[in-house]
Amino acid sequence: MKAIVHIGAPKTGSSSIQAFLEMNTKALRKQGFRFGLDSNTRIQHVEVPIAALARLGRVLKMTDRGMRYGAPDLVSAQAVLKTVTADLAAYPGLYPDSTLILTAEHIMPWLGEVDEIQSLDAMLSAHFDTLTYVLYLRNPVDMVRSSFSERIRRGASRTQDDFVTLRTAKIDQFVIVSRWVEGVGADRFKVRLLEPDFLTNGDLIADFAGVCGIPLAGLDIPPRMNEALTAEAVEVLNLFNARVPQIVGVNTVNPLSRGVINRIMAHPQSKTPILLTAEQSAGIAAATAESSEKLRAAYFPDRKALYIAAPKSGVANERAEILARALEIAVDLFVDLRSERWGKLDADDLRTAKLNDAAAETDESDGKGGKPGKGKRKGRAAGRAKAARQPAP
Amino acid sequence: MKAIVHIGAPKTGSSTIQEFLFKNTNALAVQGFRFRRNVEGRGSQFEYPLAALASIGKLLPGVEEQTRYSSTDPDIHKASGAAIEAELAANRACWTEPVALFSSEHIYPWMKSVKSIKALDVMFHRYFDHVTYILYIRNQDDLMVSEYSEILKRGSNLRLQALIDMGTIKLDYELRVKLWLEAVGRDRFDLRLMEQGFLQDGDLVADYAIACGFSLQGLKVPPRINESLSAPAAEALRGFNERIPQLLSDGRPNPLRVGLLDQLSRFSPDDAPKLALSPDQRAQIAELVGPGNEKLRRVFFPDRKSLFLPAAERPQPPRTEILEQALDLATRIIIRLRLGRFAVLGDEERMMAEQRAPGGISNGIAEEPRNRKGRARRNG
Repeated sequence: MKAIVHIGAPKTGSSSIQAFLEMNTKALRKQGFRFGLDSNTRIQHVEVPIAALARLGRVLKMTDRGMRYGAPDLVSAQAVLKTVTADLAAYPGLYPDSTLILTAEHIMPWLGEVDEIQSLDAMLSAHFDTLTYVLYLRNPVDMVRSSFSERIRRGASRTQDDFVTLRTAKIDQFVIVSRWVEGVGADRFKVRLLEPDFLTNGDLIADFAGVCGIPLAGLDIPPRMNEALTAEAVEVLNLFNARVPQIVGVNTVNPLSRGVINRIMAHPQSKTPILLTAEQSAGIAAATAESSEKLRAAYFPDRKALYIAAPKSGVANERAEILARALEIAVDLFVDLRSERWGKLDADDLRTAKLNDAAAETDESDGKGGKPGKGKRKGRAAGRAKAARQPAP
Repeated sequence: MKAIVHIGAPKTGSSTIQEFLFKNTNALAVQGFRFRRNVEGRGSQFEYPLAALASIGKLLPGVEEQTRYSSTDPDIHKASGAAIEAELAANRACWTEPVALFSSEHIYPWMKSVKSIKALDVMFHRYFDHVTYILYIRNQDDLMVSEYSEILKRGSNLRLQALIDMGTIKLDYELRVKLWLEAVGRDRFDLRLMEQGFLQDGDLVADYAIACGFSLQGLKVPPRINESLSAPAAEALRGFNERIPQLLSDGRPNPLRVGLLDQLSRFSPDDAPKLALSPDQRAQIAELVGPGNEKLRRVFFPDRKSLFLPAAERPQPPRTEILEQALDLATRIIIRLRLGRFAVLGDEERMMAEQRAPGGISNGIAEEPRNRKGRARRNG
């Protein structure tokens, strides 16, 4: 039995690969490929790394992620393990001629230790004799820029500068690859570069298909998925997220957050791409240069440099203009909400809705009757918002 | 009976004086000073300058003011004026106190000619033996900031620099004071400075009491009211005004905007940066008002070195910081709306509510439907 495990990394086109696999599920079955296990409920198979951790008696380190993916504690994680194990055991009997494709960009960040990688490998090896792991890597400068968008999209509240500083300190692609090679062996681990001159036909889907042995003829190719947030959306969401937690329970999204990102992104003033400043880009490049070079020398000795394509760049955007457009978006959200054209919550939603600082709202009644200036308020609004921001990713 | 008419100027604590008069109506009567608020909820007695203008066949200045005060039609305007004066006559017949007090910051901006000031004076003289006028003026730097806050509250989408450049805020007191001197004479015109070093006990209400001749003992002094917006609240409100007129085209409040100012004021932190002029803007204003201020000093306050002490400089945080705080205020209101803690519109209000296409200058009043032809109308 054969299985291919696409492990990301995050922000390397995983959503496009997953959309490709999803939209061609039937056609792929005819070609002898099955996308995911029967019990997988998402397009990303997050149950697989949760199960690998549970085998070691571990859970996801970040509570909000545990709640987001239905495994906030060991009991729920072990329930996931039980289901995944049963699925894997049944697979050879049910689909004896089909190669299983699993994909979750969460695998790489969640399984950070060699023993965790080996736990995944042992879990899968028990049922599949041929296993291939595929990892795409991307220029760290682009990766950080894209990750910033993703973190805000997932409910974080953090300035771009803070995020870049924190994220850059954690990037060491050579160490990541080395751990996987140590965990599963170099022959079963394929590291690929999200670089136009490296990818088959300069295209990610074509490249992934080539790695898996999937003929592309007759298959549908998805448009680009999971587009990054705009700079205006980041400004609105940064402040919104500081007040509104995105996840309020196991598998429960805060009703207050529902639809907000799409509404903001659809606004005509939401139009400026996120760009790093020249200093931020240079800082990331400098901090990751040694790791990239070691990776190149060890795995891509024929390349002159690991990453050749220039990172996405442009003239730094004037933040005041972006904030002014963000305010326009907020005003239109206000108009739509007040006119009940959008976003009305029902009684159940209101019971579920939560704020990070609910106490700040308890003494305030409807705005029509209240007196301004009641009570002493301290601290700048943005300062308060900053204090409420969630921990670093 | 004598009348003392407080005529503003705008943004010189008139709301505080009016609130003081209203709260102490009975206690003032005991001291022999009569005050009567005719229009419920309105501090400024706009009705008297309206009646005076109507008496000489003049409409209020500008369509905006005519719309706000339902005075666009000359016949209706004239009838309103006659009704106001009839009410004054009836009230006067019942008043037995030696002094009547009036206060209206609408007088100063509406009475822009000797003729109109005289019309007001003639009207009051029909009912009072002696009429005097009190005008407070303030440092024009502070005035400009305060006026900017006020026009935003009234729905404007102007930026501060644009307001300064347009010159619509009449900063040169000397020109206007000249009109008053010509119309009522120096002996009946009391020019006072809203300056810490000038005011009695450094306090406006105490100073006003001295000017009128009553004692503050046993009277209630209200806190300062109608204070300026913070810089973030002003920026946020300007953003809302860009899209949402304060009033409908017929002068009624726009339901979409009702309560918004209260929300912005309430959630603006106490230590939020205040609105302030840049050094360039201060220089621009100083150049404009310097000669006029000096003339007034020589005539009214020859012992002062300068008419006003320089306004306190307020260091301005970066614009991005103010915008971020403005966005945070807007975000908070959005969250409150979605939580049901700020009222959404009912069916009828939704039908009435008006929006404007962003861009251009907004005077805070929705355009007439015929003028909106071809423009995007997203509501209704």
